[in-house]
Amino acid sequence: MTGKRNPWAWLAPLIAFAAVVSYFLVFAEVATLRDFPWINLPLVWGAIVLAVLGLHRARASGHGKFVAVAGLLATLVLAALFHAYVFWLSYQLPAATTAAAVSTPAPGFTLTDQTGASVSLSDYPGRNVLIVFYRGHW
Amino acid sequence: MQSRIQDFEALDTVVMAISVDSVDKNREIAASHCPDILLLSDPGLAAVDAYGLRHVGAGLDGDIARPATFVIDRRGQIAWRDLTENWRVRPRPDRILEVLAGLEESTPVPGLTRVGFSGLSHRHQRLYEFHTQSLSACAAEECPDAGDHPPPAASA
Repeated sequence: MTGKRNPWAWLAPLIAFAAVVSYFLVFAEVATLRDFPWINLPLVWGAIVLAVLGLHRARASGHGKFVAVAGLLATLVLAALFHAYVFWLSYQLPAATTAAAVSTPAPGFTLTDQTGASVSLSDYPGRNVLIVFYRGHW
Repeated sequence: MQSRIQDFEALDTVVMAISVDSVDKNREIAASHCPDILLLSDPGLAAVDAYGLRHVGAGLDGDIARPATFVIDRRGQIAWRDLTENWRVRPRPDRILEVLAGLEESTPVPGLTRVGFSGLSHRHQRLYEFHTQSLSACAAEECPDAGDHPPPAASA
């Protein structure tokens, strides 16, 4: 055990970081995985386990305790931020009391589309219209 | 929605998406993700406010839209809406297509009968205006003679 390399100390926070970033860049494209991060949350928990393992090994060998502690803290911070996003932040939406109601006339509007053309709701009389309002990509 | 765009077109539905993003940003997104959806730019939050969806202070330097989905029927009425509690969770295309199919069942378009048009081109579908009433769902008082007038034979 003495002198054996202990990669978990720095690998764990790296895995946690990859798990968090990949949720936004990759897995959020798939509806079931965006609704609940079935892959990314377990990856983050796995990273925490590895970080704890890394700390245990460092204490057993007497080497690299500082790195191991730093790695565990970094993993915990990343995990906490991700949990906060999934379980709290993404619920922070205003109450729906002001939203336009079902069985009322749909409010009209005139906006510009991606080609620069002007588009109004009234351009499509007699057709169904699906409108998706989203937060944007800012 | 882009992956199911043909299903939306089959239900005669125009798909629009509205946010505060600029026209340039929308052009990028449309090119890479959704060329068949109308991405509408609403930096002034005109449509967002008209639908009561302003989320104050949620943007980097201003207000943005709260995520929401509306289905508007052929008469211009809001037929269905989804106001998600969590911005990561949006209604699935299947759910919305169900809603639209349900609208088609219950709202006969005046002057058109509900006949399967499979195999006909879009142009031919538009050419046929049958003056019989829809047999499936209109109330008796609207069409007392439903069933008495079979549709004329559809010739290609």
